[in-house]
Amino acid sequence: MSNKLLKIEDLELSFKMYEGLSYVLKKINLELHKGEKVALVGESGSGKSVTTKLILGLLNQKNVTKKGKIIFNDKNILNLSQKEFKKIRGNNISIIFQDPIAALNPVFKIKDQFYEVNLNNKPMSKKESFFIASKALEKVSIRDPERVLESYPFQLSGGLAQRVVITMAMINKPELLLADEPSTALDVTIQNQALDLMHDLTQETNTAVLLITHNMGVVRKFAEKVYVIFRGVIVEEGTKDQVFKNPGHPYTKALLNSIPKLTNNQLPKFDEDSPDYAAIAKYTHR
Amino acid sequence: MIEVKNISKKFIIKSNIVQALDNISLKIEESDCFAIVGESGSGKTTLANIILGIYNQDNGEVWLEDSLLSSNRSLNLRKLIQFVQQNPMSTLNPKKTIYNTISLPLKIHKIVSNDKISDRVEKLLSYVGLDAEFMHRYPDTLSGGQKQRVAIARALASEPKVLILDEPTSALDVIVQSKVLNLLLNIKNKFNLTYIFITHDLSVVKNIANRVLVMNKGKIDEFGKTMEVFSRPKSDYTKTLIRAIPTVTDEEDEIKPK
Ligand SMILES: Nc1ncnc2c1ncn2[C@@H]1O[C@H](COP(=O)(O)OP(=O)(O)OP(=O)(O)O)[C@@H](O)[C@H]1O
Ligand SMILES: Nc1ncnc2c1ncn2[C@@H]1O[C@H](COP(=O)(O)OP(=O)(O)OP(=O)(O)O)[C@@H](O)[C@H]1O
Ligand SMILES: [Mg+2]
Ligand SMILES: [Mg+2]
Repeated sequence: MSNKLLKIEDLELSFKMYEGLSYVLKKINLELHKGEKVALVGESGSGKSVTTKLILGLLNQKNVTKKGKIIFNDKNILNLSQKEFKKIRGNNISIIFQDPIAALNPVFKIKDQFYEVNLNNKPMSKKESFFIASKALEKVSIRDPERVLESYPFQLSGGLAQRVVITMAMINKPELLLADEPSTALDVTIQNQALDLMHDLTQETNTAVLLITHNMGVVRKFAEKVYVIFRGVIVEEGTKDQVFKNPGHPYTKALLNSIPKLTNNQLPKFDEDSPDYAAIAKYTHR
Repeated sequence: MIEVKNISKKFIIKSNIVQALDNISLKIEESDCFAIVGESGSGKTTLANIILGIYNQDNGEVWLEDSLLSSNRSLNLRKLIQFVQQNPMSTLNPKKTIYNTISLPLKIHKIVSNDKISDRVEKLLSYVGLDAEFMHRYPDTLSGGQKQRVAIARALASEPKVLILDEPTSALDVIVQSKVLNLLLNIKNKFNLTYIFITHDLSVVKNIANRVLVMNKGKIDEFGKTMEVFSRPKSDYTKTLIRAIPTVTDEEDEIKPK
């Protein structure tokens, strides 16, 4: 049995828009092994979230064209039917969506949304599900899980909603966890706990995590491998140390130079006219 | 500029009482970049909602200069304080194009004459680094960071005096973040605006705010000049918070409180 869990090969995506075709992913290649912690970082609008949507089979509108392969457990899943995707989504792959409030159903209480997720795992009573959910929420420092479970999404703070979504995504111990900005609404202490929980999951159940974030400090803390994406092109890949200590691509260098630092009192200045980073060849560390 | 006096607010969910704000008082001076940081669920967004008149407080008062602010306030007072909400994806109307979203405040507050609206929308989008092409798109075709920038452009449209920004750049890469924040600071200086900046990104706070308020469990934990709070934090909670900041260099870790 191979250790490879996910292999994305020459993945292309375009949307047909009013103004014409818009190419969003241009031959992306990316790999995750079982239990591996990989970060995908890069420009806003570069194609990170759509990549996760393709992995989950969520982009099926008429104006979408996709090419290439997404191989999950040795099987190309790019063009699976919705029925087959539904099986994978509940059990093998889960996602923490970028906007937690939007990810939750506004008209159901949190406890009912947990019930649905828990049923994916095994049949159980509502009471049992409430108990399981409440225990899991305590692990992300929620002091009053009963109140949170009895709430509707709009009654939660940004960070509470985000912790609910994180817990739901982890509760069934998926093989692959897609974490799209999982910690932006969390204060830094709870953020560390959330990262620790994701780390524990990789140790306990060999879950692989694809972490998408703009917070480079979080990447430095969590990831083993890093992919850098710019305008639909992977411009650099390497281990965390390689990318942070010896960035090779000019975009990665610009990115690292723009991080606001605790040692400064002023934001870093930015280049008004930056080069077309996408045209500069990909840098792969050996 | 803004004075908050003894504000309290609780919510009740099925016999559970949540004391979201517990007797909070603070003063925000004109042209402050006033940061509010702290525990998730400590009442930051609730405070913003009360200042804006979206929620009613249980106790206390909010003053904007010499006007007492209540939840039914005049259109003019409404225009003066604008809000960029925490979750731009769920706050943009999915049925409206970006053009309609941004032009609405221009029309309501009669900021420019009708024939100039389109130009102004384009200008506001350019402020946040989006081309005119975005005007005709709907929110669900935008990335997280693109929506966040639309929300900032919409808030700037009505030419407010006070801008409350709730996690305004969390969905932006650090390069775009630096552009947007520099731009917000330029606009602030140019029009003498006051910012209330709510965020979990303490490195950003260190670099842009002049004063910072740390909240914990509905109460004020610590308050002071940014430099002082970061170099000599007094409360244990603030120390814990600063120690937990994810950093990218060893030098940053060295200046954290022991
Ligand atoms: N349904 C859609 N129709 C048309 N264009 C789309 C659609 N969804 C996304 N896009 C475009 O595809 C590009 C990539 O979007 P995506 O959401 O993947 O960005 P991202 O890397 O996640 O950015 P962010 O960091 O801002 O969240 C963006 O330019 C976006 O405007
Ligand atoms: N409309 C509401 N109904 C019930 N409870 C609410 C409502 N709004 C907020 N709360 C609760 O009040 C508390 C404070 O929420 P608030 O949104 O102000 O926190 P916050 O400091 O902004 O947190 P975060 O950093 O997570 O966004 C939370 O426990 C939240 O669940
Ligand atoms: Mg995204
Ligand atoms: Mg909030």
